[in-house]
Order: sequence, then C-alpha cells, then structure tokens
Amino acid sequence: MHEPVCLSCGQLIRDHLDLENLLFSAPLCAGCRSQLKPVNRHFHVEGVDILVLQEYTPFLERLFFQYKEGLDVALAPLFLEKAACFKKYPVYILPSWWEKSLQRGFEPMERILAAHGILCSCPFVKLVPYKQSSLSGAARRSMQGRLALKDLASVQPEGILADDVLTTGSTLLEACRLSGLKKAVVLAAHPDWLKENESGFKICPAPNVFRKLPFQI
Amino acid sequence: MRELKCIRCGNQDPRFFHEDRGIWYCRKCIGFSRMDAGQTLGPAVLKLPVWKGEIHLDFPLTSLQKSASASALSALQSGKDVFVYAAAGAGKTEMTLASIDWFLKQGKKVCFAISRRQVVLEIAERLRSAFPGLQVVEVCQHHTDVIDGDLIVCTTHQLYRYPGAFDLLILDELDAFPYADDEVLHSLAYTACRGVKMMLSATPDAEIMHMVETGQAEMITLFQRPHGKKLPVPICRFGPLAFQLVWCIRAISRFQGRQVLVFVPRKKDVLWVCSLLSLFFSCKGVHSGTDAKDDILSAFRAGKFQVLVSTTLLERGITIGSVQVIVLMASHPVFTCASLVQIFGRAGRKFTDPEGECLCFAKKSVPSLTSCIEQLQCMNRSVCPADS
Repeated sequence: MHEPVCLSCGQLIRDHLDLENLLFSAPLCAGCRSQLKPVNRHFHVEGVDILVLQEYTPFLERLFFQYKEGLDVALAPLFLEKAACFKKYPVYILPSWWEKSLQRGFEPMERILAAHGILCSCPFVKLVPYKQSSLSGAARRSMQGRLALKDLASVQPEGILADDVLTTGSTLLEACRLSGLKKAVVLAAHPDWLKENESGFKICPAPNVFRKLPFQI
Repeated sequence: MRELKCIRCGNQDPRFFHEDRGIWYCRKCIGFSRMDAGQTLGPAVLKLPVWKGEIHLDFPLTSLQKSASASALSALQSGKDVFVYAAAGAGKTEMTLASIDWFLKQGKKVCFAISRRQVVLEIAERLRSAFPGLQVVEVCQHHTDVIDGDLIVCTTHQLYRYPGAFDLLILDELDAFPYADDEVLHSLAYTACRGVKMMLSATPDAEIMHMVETGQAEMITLFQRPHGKKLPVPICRFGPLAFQLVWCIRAISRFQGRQVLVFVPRKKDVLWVCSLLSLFFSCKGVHSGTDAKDDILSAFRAGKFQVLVSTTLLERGITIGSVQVIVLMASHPVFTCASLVQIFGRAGRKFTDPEGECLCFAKKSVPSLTSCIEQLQCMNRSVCPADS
C-alpha cells in the first residue's frame, strides 16, 4: 500500500496534515485545500434556489482546466467533497457540445457525480457550439435558442439541476425555465456572480435535506 | 499492478498513475497534456532551418570568448555534451552563437531553452539581432501561436511540444527555478534532445558538477567579462531593517540619478519598499504576479524611472545597461549563494560602465552571503591573479 499523495500538488499528504486529513481520506493536502473557498450558500435567483458549494478561485480554475481539458479524471472526486445534497433527488446535468464530449470521452459533471455514486441524466441538448469564455457579457446573458429540452425527455420537477461552474447563471436559469426545475447545485460560482447576487443570498431554515448546508447533513 | 513507465517523463511511481476505464495514464506530467500508457511519443515534425548568413555582433568577441566558443563547438561536433561555466556577464549567450551558426548551416534543428519567460523574450531578441534574417521564434506563455521557426527559443516547460526534435539543445541557467529540482522538466529536456546539449550556468549545482566529473559533459570556463574588468563584489552592511532602509535611500541618493535595481525577498516586500522609495525617487516594482512585467522592464531599460524594486524574478538572464544593485534583507533564505551571485552579476556589464556598484544590506552575515563573496573573489582571482 502506497502512502497517499495530494491530487493537486503531488506531495505526500502526511507532510501537510490537518484535522480533515486525519479524520477522512481527503484527496487534497492541507496546503492545497486552504486555497479552496467554500461558500455553501443558497441563492434565490428568478425563482430558482441555487446552492453554491465553492467560489471559483484561480486554484479551482486550474484544477477544472486540468480535469476538463487535460482529461485528468483522477480529479473528479475532489470537486464534490460532500455529496449528500444530491442523495434524495433525481439529478440532471447540463450538456457539453457533442464534439467536445466525443473529444473528451466523458461528460465532466457526470463523472464527478459518478465518483460519489450519484447517477444523473441529461435531458437537454446544446443547439449551437459556444464557449462561455469566448462570449461577450451580453451574449452570455442571452441564452435563447442555444439550449433545448430533448424530445420525450422526462424531468421530475422536484429534481436538482447540477452544474460545475456558474459564470453568469444564464445557461442554468434557461435550463430551469425549459424544464421547470426549481433547485440547482453548482460546484463553483464566479466571484463576480456571488457579488452580484449577494442580495439573493439566504440561509434556509427549512428542515428538508436540500435546504441544509452540506456540513449539516 | 504491473510496472508502468511514462515515456515522456520517465515516471515509474505507481502513486502518480491513474486508471481511467482500463487505461492507465501518468499524473506526474499531466500538466503537459495526458499521456496514456502505450501511447507513442512521435518525434515533433518541424521544418528544417535555412541559414546561410553571417553572425552580426555589435562588439567583436574577446580572444578568451573566441577560444571558449571554439572549444565548445569542437566538443559538440565530436558528439559530446558541453557545460559552459561562465561568470554572469561574461557573455554566455555570445559563446553559443558559433555553435548555433554551425548547426543551422548543417540544416540541423537548434533550440535555446531557459527557465524563465522573461529571459526567453530577451534572448530571442538578442538572437534575432545576431542572426539577421533568421526566423527566431519565442515560445512561452502568451507566445504560442507560432511554435516552429529556424531557431526556437522557449521556456523549459514548452519543451514538451518537441519530443526528439533538436540536434542541439542549449539549456541556459540549469540551476534556476523551476528547472532545477524538477524531474519532469529534466525528462522533457532529455526527450526533446536527439543530439547534443550545451548547458550554461554561472552557478552550477552539484548535479552539473557530477556530470562533468563523470565525463558526461565537457566543462569550458570563462570568468572574465568582455570589458576585462573584475566582477563587482558587494559591500555588506549589517543592521536592523530600519537601518537597511536608511542606508538604501542614502546609497540611491549618492548614485545621483543612475539607475538602481533593488532586490527584496518576497512579493509583499516589493509593494512596501516600492511605496517607501517612491517618496524619494521615481520608482516601480515588479514580481512574478505583476501584470505589466514586460512594460515595466521596457520602461526601466528606456530610463523612464530610476529605481526598480524586484524579487528574485530579475536575478538571472536580464541585461540592463548601466545599473547599480542593492539587496535588502539579504539574510533571508530566499537569497541563496547562487541567487546572490546572479543578482550581483547584473551590475557592471556594460563597456561604457564596467564598474557597477553592489551593496548588500542584511540583519546579519549568513553562509550564503559569505560563500557568494568567496565565489566572486575566486572568479576574479582566476582572471586577475596579480590582484589577489
């Protein structure tokens, strides 16, 4: 049995220990984990309850790039350390452009959820190829005609829409509008989006699992 | 698990392999794109260089430089790797020109690889001027649209693009971060070279010296600068930080408008030292996180401000005309002996101003500082024995 190494920096985890490493088999060393910024907050935007787990920091951006563009699937489990918020609901994900999926050989969000034993389906289809980072702010906000619900797709309204990175939220909100979903979980939200939606933030006191923070479950 | 080996970085450590649906891939060099087990690493397909011109230099090489340059070329022609041990400012880059010229004229592929992006841009410019008409391409961060030319100048990170591509690979500043101590970068360099290597440094580490001792590389030394003057040896003063700042301000005033490079150990020190010095002089700061690094450096070269505060970012490879050097907080561990030798090597490089002044302010004397001074004195003795 080999000693575990940090998935990000490759150093021995025992060289940078903290309580989390001692109690759980965390995939990141304490030094790398300190670069994550957990958010764990609900935001209400256009009638959709969005749970944001992390802030999209440069460190996380590098990890996502390594995972999605470098095809480093070993990183999949670390984007979702606490998966309990998904357990009781059907989970739906947003699609990638089909050429990109073929090129990668996997759907990034599906792989992240699968690493935690969560099954999901994708009831949407991307109608045109686009990359968020290549669009202007106005184009990012206007998602009409870019996304559609698949024919015969069945979406249960109590389900959760899961997405990896929230930049403007327009794709996520368009998907919710098309499918009638009212709850979403995003792994990381851009700091600008968090700032813009600060007023929509609330800690939900409701007793059901979805409305609790991950560490309270 | 059966034994795996990455053909790109040579990794055999099972902790750095991951299985993806039955296919193992290396995670040690994953930053350079994914390398699956069984995947072949074909040689990079590059165009052959065309060079029939002559080397152009603003100053002729000294007899010592010519002799060292010829020895290096002769060793390379006989298929031996070469290590050039030369003082900072002795003209290491110029010593490579004859070898580059010969290899290019044979239609062979040549690459000049350096650890730092900043230095890549500067060396590319110097090579462009030395080989007029030759297509010299720089390949580094923000310069990756064109990756092939008659002569490639790149960071050691970018060597992953060129497996088995080069007949002559010149590795400058071997002992510099991040190349030094990075197994993956070493492997990329070895994979990129199908011919011979020419390694350059002013501060070789034990690994390089071991290569020389075991006959893996031939060492050529050059400790005299082209202007023939001795290397500047720093004058040290020891005291608390407040005193160091006062000495620093007084020294810059004494330089009467001549440009000064002030080195500090950490990024945060750049900010406050720069703010303080700005009260007295025209001053700017630069560190690895500075967005407009190139612009600031160009403005400093153009003499638009007097003082440039930097971390060790500018310790190597950068040639700035007539400049004096001050190191603040020199007892900080970031200033290793090699780092200090390089830093003081920034001064006195110009023919028009060969007597650069170096000042070193520290809380106390530390071994890195004393061995740096010893090394510089030793180099000076080797070229001017009468002065010892």
